[in-house]
Amino acid sequence: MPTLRFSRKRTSRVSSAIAAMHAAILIITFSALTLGCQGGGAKNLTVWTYDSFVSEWGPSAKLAELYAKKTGVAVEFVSKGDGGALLAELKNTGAKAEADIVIGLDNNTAPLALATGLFAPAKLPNLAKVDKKLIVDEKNRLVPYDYGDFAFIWDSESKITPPASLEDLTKPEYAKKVIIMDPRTSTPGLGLLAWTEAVYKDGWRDYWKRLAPSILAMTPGWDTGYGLFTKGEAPLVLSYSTSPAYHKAYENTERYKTLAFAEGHSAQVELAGILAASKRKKDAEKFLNFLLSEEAQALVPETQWMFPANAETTLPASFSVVPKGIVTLSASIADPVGDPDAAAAILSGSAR
Amino acid sequence: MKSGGRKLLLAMRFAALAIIFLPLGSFVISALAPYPANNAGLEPVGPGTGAARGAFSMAFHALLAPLASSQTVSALRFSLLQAAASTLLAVIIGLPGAYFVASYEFRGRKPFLSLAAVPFCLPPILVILAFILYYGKNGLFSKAIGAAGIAGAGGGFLYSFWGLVTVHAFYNFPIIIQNVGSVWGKLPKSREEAARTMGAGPFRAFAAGSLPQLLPSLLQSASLVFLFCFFSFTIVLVFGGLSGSTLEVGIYRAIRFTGNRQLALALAAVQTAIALIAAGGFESFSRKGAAVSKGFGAVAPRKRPKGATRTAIAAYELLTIVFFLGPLFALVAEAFTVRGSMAGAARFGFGNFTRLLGPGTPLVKALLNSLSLSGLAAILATLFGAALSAAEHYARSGRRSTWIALLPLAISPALVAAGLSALFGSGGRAVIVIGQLSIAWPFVARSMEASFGALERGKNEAARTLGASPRQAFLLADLPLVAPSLASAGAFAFSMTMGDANIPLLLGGGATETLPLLLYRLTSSYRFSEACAVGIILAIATSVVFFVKEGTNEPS
Repeated sequence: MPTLRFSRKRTSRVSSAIAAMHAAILIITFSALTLGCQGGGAKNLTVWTYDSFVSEWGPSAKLAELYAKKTGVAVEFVSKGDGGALLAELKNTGAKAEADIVIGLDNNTAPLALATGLFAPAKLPNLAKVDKKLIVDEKNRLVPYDYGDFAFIWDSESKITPPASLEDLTKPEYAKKVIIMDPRTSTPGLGLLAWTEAVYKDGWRDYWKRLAPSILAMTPGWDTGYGLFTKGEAPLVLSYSTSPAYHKAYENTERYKTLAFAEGHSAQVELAGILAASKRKKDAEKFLNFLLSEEAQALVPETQWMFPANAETTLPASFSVVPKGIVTLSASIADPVGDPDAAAAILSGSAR
Repeated sequence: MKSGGRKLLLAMRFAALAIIFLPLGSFVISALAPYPANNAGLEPVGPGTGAARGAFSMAFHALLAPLASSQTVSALRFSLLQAAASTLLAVIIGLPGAYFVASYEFRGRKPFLSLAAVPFCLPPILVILAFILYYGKNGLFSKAIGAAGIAGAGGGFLYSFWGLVTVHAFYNFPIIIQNVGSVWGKLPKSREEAARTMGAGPFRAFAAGSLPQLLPSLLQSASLVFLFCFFSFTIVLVFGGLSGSTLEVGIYRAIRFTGNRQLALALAAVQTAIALIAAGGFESFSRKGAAVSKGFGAVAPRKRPKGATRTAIAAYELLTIVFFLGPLFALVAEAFTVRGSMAGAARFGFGNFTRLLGPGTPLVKALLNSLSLSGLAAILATLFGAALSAAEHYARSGRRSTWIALLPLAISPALVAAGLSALFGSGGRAVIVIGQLSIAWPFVARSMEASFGALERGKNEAARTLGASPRQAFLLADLPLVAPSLASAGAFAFSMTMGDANIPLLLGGGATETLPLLLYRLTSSYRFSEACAVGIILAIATSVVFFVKEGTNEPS
């Protein structure tokens, strides 16, 4: 049978195609080589946490280094995504979770987390140095390692006078001047909801109706909201009371100021716990105790931008811009499943 | 070719369905399984059949109730409305560009096509920042028109329904230009010219002659844009203002916040049903039109524009630069803006980049990770998508449609992510590649379908009569013809995988940092200017691929 032969000159098109193929082969080989490289062994103490904890700007690397130097035990931090994904993953894998410790739940998600029964009580001497107000679980299945008050940050270079209370925010002069986060998809949003429920009790729905005209945007996460704020879209944003400390430390500016409301603020308390199914509970306890020590807690302020739970930790200079004496309210959400949807619906209902 | 082709086709289909349904299946199992995954978390449900049965009926009620709620209905309505409006606007903006790109050779044509997928390599947060930096209250554009004395629209426009639609349209109109433009370029002008000789004006001739042949490609691109906008999450919530909510929000919340997977499943079912109806409707349309696109044959080469057309093209380019590239310029400006000098004011500098090259050099590591992992995923996605498309094309002489590729486009991203997480656990770079591959291959398959459809059988058959085997005929006759579209689809797949932050975030365990994940981490820790710097690197890496692609494109 006659065979087919197409004579082919080396056109520039063919050359480029060959170059592209070479690049592709290079990429494939390189990836294949690195695909096999997976760090960590089963012997490490495994901590499940959220993503910003393990990033370059989070505390995990330094914590692991300090702890290894002190005790020789290797700690491996595994990120499960953001805070919401962490809880979802826990609930999903249950007792089969291949972790010893979980760091990164908070006071809002604690009831759901504790209800899974996955956490074991921990005996931690350093817990005595933690402010009693921060304790969420008496059985110490989940212990606090840092906390922050939710607060509105004000751009002092804007032309508006800063509000002094939640009610002030509803004034006409603040129309479309406030950025908040969505309580359905973010912890600051949940924090605001809990805040309003603590201050207004059953009247919180009416408050959200009054607040609606002031809202410029309700962003799905803190990052988009704060990004809009620093670009000047609005002079007020819901964030943490410690936010100005970042700008002081890294941008050398005191432009953004925390507004302390006399009526008090809700707070986010971040929690860590040992999983009951862990085979290294003793080691895990030792590490958690280390997490609450002054040495480890000193890492918290400028990585997490939150206050360390251990009251005896010295704060860095940048925290001088954070107002002291903010009253922390005991705040929780009456109906964690229904209230966030209701709040969001109130806002969009008013927008029509 | 017939029986071998059918076997290959069935194998490809099976593989595709496996990739689609394994994560979905693992999610469904996790949603319907008894304790501890299925309770809404407020009461522990013990193991045992009695509790399991009770939990199942609880699950059933949890499924039905939210489907009928007014919230779901209004979320659905809003999802459809904003997606439809965005698609319409994208088509209106994109059609002129598609026409110019198809018919004329002008300066800036190649860069025009190259920048098309850059928005897709930018994670949503960066797109939002770019728009704010440009159109926001202190944005470059607002300042410029303020300096020119035109009263600004005020920052409020962005955060309204029409602001959202505009952002979506700008994000997506290059898809129209690229897909419609490439098919339009291959369209024979004979019918249109015939209409002209019979006295029809240019628009009438177009409507009667070319439009019917163009419609399938147009509807396919529009359906892609529609599905993108339908599933849009961050951008809708930020720019939609308070005008409404989408189903994706409900699903995201149910999975991540309340742990109510049955609710997520119920909402996703509604969402997918609607998306499939939309996709299916367009599918039957394009199938009818696909027959038309056979036998396009040779086309006249593009000509240089003259006179009024030249002005029109220049105006279109200018408008694109001002309105579409503007936000990207603003991003570049921000990347080079260094804050935190002792003087307090922001100044021009490389500080954001050098800070990222500091200890640990996160930027370099992330770039290498992205190129290798996302690059590999893109290559595999391109090969797989093209292979599926080819198998569909060659095995069935009648209908050729890669309908399977439509399925993943109709499934909630939050659900897929949760399913992949349930399936693979985390850690491991191979998992990231698989996850990203599953995002990108449907787009390759869909865009290759148009190309394969436009192949005329003449060359292939000629090669066969000369004695070539089916494979040889494919390699020597057809492959060179679809190669440009293959490169184009591959470049697009690359920008999708490069720009994805979710898969590495959820499946990577935190150890493997890609560029978008680095970006995400920066924006989560106040470092927005550095995030812009990373975004620029990402955009450059993606554009390079497009320039290389275009290099292989032009006939010698």
